[in-house]
Amino acid sequence: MIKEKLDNLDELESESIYIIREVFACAQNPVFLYSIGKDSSVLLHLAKKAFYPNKIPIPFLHIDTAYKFKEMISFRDKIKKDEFVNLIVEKNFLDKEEMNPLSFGRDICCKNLKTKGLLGAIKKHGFDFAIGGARRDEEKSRSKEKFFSLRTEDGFWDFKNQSPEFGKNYNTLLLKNNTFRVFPLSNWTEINIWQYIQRENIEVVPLYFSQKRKVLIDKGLFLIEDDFFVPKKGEIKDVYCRFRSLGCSPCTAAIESRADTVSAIIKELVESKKSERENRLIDFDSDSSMEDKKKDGYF
Amino acid sequence: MKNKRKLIRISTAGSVDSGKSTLIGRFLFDSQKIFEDQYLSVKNICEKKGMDLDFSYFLDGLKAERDQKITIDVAHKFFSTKDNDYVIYDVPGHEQYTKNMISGVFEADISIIIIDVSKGFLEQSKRHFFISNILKKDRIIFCINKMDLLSYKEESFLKLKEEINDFIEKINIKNVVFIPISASKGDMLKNRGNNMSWYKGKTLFEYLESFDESKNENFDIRFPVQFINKDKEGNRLYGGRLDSGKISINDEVLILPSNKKIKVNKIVKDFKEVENAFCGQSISLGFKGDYDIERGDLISSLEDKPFCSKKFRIKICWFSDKELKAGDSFIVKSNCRKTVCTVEKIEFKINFNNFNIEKTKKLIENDVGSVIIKTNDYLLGDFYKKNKKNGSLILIDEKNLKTSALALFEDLVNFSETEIEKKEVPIIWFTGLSGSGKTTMANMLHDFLNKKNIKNKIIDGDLFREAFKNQLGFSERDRELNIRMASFVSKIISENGIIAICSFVSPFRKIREEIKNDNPNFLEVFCDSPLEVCERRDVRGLYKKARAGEIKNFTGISQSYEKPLKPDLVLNTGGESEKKSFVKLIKFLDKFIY
Repeated sequence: MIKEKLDNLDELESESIYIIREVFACAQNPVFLYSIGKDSSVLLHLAKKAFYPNKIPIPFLHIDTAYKFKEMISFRDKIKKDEFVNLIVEKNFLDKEEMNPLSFGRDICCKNLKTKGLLGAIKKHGFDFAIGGARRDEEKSRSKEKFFSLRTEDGFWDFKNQSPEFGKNYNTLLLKNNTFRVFPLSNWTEINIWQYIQRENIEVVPLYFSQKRKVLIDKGLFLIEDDFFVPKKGEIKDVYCRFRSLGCSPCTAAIESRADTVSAIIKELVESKKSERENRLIDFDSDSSMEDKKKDGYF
Repeated sequence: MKNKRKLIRISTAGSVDSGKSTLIGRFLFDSQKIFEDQYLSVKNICEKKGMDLDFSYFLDGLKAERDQKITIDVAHKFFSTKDNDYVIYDVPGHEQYTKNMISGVFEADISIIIIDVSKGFLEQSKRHFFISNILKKDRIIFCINKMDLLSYKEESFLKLKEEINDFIEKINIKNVVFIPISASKGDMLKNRGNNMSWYKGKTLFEYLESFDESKNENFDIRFPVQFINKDKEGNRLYGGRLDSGKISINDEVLILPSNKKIKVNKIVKDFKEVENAFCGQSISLGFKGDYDIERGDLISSLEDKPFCSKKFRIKICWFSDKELKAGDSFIVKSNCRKTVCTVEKIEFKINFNNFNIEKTKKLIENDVGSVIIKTNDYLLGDFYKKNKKNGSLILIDEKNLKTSALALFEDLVNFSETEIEKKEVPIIWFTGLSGSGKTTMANMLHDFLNKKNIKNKIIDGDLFREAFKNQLGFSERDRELNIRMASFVSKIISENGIIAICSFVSPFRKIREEIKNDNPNFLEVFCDSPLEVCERRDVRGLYKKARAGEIKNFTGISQSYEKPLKPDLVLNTGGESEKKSFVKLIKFLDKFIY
């Protein structure tokens, strides 16, 4: 038998590894952006494969907004001990009174904690290529992303001026002060991510799996109790729930679910009629929320 | 054995209102990829604006696109069927965004072109077809949409099919797939529907699901080295993706450009060493012995090697708003290699209205054409026709670093062939009475060019006649024949990069005009000296003989000289010094001679 056909996951995996290696070969000072979520877990696994048997020669960067779930932070600290990974944590903490989503609004909070934190860290370390785990199927403005997405000095995304891409010959050249955001997982779907987590036995934050949690039900959204959570009026209840995607705790809601294993999650997703970011409050602020955030430099 | 789940990439292109968005909306709806929350939010927006549910809201991801109701950049959409995963590269139709259309079609395995059955084969669709044909060949599907609006009549489908076939047969394309569909009603997509029982072919989904890329697979080993790694013992490992073929431990392979034979002694995939690696896999290779291998070198099978050259004919899709001309230079990236190239010649471009080839010296934004480039360093690859994975390159602007073109390797170009070809050198044709100074000017020019090492050759009327053993006389017919032969010879000489310096009395305007029209590089230089002056000079005593009637048909005496009406240059060789005329000549020729 002269050939072995690659299945859908093999092909996605190979494409992502190719892009990660291309960054390593072409960048001066690259970095992975690590969000602790499932996509970051997959990205980290792929990076290990790309450079095996060596350590990953590109550092991982986590921007800590002080609003992440406790379980995320402890998961991150476990990753920090992985000998194949060099994880840098940049804290972008402001006093709760100075910045929070409840009194300032989600947009302003995101801009100040996430976007500013990210741009500041990129500038501070002089990173030229920042690799992230964003996927094109997540949200409509992300469906327009290139693998190598150019940002101007202040992080601005000029989508009308993107260089078109043609297979493996990526244009990785940068003018002074410009940077690239690189998205090796562009063509993965949410289900692909879980299929791969299952196949490769990749560890993810336990919040993704269903268990009975105490939640505050606010306009149909399940917010779980957390250190940073400022309880508002609403019904508090014990429900079986899990998180479909993870972000800052005040702005990320759980979904009602009994899926407590990877295969149960895949089954749930196949049958689901709701999108992945249904629980992300930041996306619903306007018709083009994410696009506006991306133009400002949000990942 | 159960078939593996495949990842199939399709591109969708259609002109305005062809129903493309509705078709994609169908794909997504049918595979439940439009979610309740997205559906409700779009419904909400459409209701607010007082419109019916508009599928383009699911597809065009950016505010500017939704506002203008157009696709600007490629949108990537995903759906899956029971057996396969699909990525849709939804591409723009407008000429202005051709680069994004080409990008989407390039990435796709299958190109779908959606056409409104009532609108015919519009120019935008011709462009989609032509690009698809260059990039995808036999993987093009025409979806003839909106059949429901014409009562699903077979005649309307056949009429459009014939119109398209007539057109594309001109460029020798046959066997293109046509499917009559109704995107809004769902006929011939997933289900056949009950309305077009006259159509016996596959439905669109049946075509997609039966896609088999292995038909066109290339078995030659192609492994461009992407980066250099080390194993635990400190031996070098070379990372990259196997573009084609299968590689196994102990295989003897060739490393290019150094052309050395080496033996594979390690293949690393995932977290382990393996015996074999297959086409498409990202792996690392180790070799027996110590070799100097760099990023951009290429590992190949011993037989059927890739090319390794510095000069190519490429098919180019030009995107930049700057014009592309001979002499322009760019950064090139191809198969992990980066170098600089210079454009030697623009050969032609394609007219998208009739698919004709048009000669040109420049390409403008969105042109597709043929160009010859020369690179500073070697490029390794295959012709696109032979191996698509290895057959393309991109050109990057040296100043703004934007991707200016996609190009496909078409052919290698012989160095000596174009070195001459690129210089379009002139034929300098001196005309005037005998004794008007033609030969003097020709000889001075000859010496001048020789000193500058510029190749040239004098073709003199008298020498020419001698060469033909004086078989030709001076009758009108013989003179015409003589000039025609001189023109023919000088054309051959100039096409080979040698400047032809011709001095011929050539008294007849008609024939001079004729050879001028025949050759764009023909420069007519009129040595304007009055008959009295020439006759007074009478260097060879010809005028005396003519006056005595010893020479018949002598120009100026017994035959008229027809002055040029619009010569490229007039030299007043009767009134001014030789030197002054010559300076004038050189000044004039400056822009034609390099």
